[in-house]
Amino acid sequence: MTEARIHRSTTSKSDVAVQTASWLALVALLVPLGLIVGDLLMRGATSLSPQFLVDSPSKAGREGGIGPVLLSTLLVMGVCLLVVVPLGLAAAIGLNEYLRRGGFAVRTVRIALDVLAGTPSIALGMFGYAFFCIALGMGVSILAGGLTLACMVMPLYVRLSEQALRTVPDDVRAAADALALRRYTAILRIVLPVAAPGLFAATGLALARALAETAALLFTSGYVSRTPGSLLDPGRVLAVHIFDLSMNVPGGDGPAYATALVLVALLLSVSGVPRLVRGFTRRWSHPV
Amino acid sequence: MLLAVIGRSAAVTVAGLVILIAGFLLLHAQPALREIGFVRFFADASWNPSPGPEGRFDIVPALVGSALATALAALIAVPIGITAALGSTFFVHRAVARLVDSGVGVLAGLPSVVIGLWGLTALVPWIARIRAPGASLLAAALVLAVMVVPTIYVASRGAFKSIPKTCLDGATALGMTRIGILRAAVLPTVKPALAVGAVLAITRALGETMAVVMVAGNVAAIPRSLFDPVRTLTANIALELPYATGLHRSALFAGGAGLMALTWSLVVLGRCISRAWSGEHND
Amino acid sequence: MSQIDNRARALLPWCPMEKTAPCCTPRTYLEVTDLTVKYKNTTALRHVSIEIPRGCVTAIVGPSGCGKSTLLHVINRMTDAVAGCDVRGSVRLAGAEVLGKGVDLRMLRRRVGLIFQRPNPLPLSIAENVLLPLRDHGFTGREERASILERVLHEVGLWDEVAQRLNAPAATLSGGQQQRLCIARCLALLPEVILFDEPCSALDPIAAEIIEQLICRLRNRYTVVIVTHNLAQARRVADFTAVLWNREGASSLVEFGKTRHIFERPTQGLTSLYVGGVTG
Repeated sequence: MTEARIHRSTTSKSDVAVQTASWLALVALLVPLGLIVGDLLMRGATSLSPQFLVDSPSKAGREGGIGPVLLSTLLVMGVCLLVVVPLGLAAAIGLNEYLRRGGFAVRTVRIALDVLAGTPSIALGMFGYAFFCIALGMGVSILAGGLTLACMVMPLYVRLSEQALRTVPDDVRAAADALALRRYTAILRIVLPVAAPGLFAATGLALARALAETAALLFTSGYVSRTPGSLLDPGRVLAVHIFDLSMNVPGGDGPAYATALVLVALLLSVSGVPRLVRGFTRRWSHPV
Repeated sequence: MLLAVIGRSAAVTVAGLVILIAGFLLLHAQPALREIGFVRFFADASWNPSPGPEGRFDIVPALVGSALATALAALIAVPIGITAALGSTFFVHRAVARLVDSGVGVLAGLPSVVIGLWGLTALVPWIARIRAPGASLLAAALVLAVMVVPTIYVASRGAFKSIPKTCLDGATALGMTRIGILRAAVLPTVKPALAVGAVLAITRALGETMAVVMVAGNVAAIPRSLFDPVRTLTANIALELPYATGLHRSALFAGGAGLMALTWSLVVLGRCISRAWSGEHND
Repeated sequence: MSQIDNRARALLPWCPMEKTAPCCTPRTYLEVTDLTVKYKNTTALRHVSIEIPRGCVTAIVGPSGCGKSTLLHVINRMTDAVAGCDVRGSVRLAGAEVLGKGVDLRMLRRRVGLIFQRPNPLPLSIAENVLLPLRDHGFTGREERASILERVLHEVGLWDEVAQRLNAPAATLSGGQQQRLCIARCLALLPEVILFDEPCSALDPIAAEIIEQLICRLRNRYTVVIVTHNLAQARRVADFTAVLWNREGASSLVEFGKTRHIFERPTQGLTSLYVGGVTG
């Protein structure tokens, strides 16, 4: 993929116009980013402190901290990843390595994944409520929330894992074929190790997507801001806490911003770590 | 052998999820569809879902709210996204382009509540200074545009980057203006990709809930101007489901099912576009 | 041309060009009959029939793009994985049909090894490149595997160069070393036939020479088929040569015979034009 620049060969007015227009667009793109991040830092940093991360919220969250909320978030994400990673990886392996390319099964699964990816998160939240909370009897709980989140995040994870699996060079696959290695040996000993950095990245990105989710969790893991005792207790995740503080609690803006800062910091670190892992594993991959 | 079975069944399970979701939504929407009937969702006088015979279930304001907010957001985001992508790919220094890419990446990752929070505390008061109350269609559209522009940018950037350099060189050697080069070498091949990007963005905007709830004002009536408050389908569900029972709840589920059907058709539309225009298998 | 001949002769005294093949009455081991291969709408090979004699080195030559690689890939059924590839005809290995249904591909690919144009070591350590296929094919004893590893590395001349760093990644080897490693892991499975698909084209001349010497050493114990577009190479290493040519859109066999005859007394006009460097 080459990146080419179109340099100015004439000085016509349209050239200048195009240049100006694209600069304006770039600025328009970045201005909201600057405003939001700026606001986050300015308004959030003041309420932030190590205590904030540990204390329980008091006075409906106007004071105190977000300790229980962090814990609930951790638990919900844990449940989500525990379901998404094995199932999603298996599905990606199935799609990429075992099912016939371009066959009926593959096309159907891909359409299904695309559709699932396009489903509004609120609709998934309703489904989670109807299915996990009511039909399966989990009630509004961390478990139900995690499972609903897993449904939400699954298409992204499968797509990213597949991309990672496809980074294995064709001639390595040809070598494995010519040696008639058993399929699962080839997958476990060759394909997965080469794809590993990409798979880590996929996990990180899926986790980042899950952390940002609110609507799917409103009805499934709940609003309760107490420390959860078990996976079947309801719990409030960071995103829901921000929502509650800003919409329902007068004067909750300060802690809301602080929580938002924590959430964004978490997001950035979770999507950034896979990049480091990539660096370490370069030595073993096939020199293409 | 075991891995083959696991792999194949996992793929099938994932696909089966979709059927499960549709099934459950329809299941819970059933009572409303039966008792209220499809027509009343559009013919009733207002949205006043109280239990008993006085309940009114006019979904049109919410539909209009969603449609307007989405359309406006697309109108803002699509030109900006495409133009910015053009700039990044063809007109600015590579380092600047990388910076913009990272920035867009961060913007794309911001949770909708965080954008909604900013909208609520910064954008709405700013709009309120022009015309009260601030929480309005305009706010909703702007916030949606912010959320959706990364999608368009990334899709367009990918399409522009895949143009081979030789193609551009040919047009440049003819001494064409930049617009000419774009029209000759770039536009013909990227149209499907841009269209798909736009459809994806619209799908995302339609399904967005939190940010919209926080800034749109949530009055269930058709807005008469940009500055009037508005309620979208998604906000409808988010605000009322925790307290809804019986027929009301079922009606909300029906709304959710309708929303799902709409977004699913958009997804299929997007796939058809990319397949039809580029002529190759979208696999 | 004669300078290269002399130099080759000096380096490879055991690779006879003037003398006939050691297997004076060669028996056919690999028999390709009436092979026609189509990729979607283009025909790659048309009605090709060759009899590869046992224990000898047979070269398949011809201009680029004339289906030589396809021929090799059909023999160990690598073409099965190519979408839209239609194979008709017969390929027999020691009398048994290779192309039919119900053929054990694992066994086939153990008996018929394939060395690719670009070296493709597995993304593992040097030792694991040989040991993993052994384990996968059922060689259970660790001692046995280790001794096989040493044997094949000696055979390809890599042992001295890598014995100290068997656990280093194979990707750290040079191109020529990687190709020899690929040959080693193929030899570990005790094949009967080894197919070389232009094995030296991605290597520098010195590395190529080492590979050629290795191929000569394989004579008698293995049946070797080497595809090459380098006529001088064919003259240096092969006992028999088959000339393929692209006619009417598909490749077919022009002539087959002892290398000396092909180069010095060809029966077909096209052959003499090709080996004389006039065309192709």
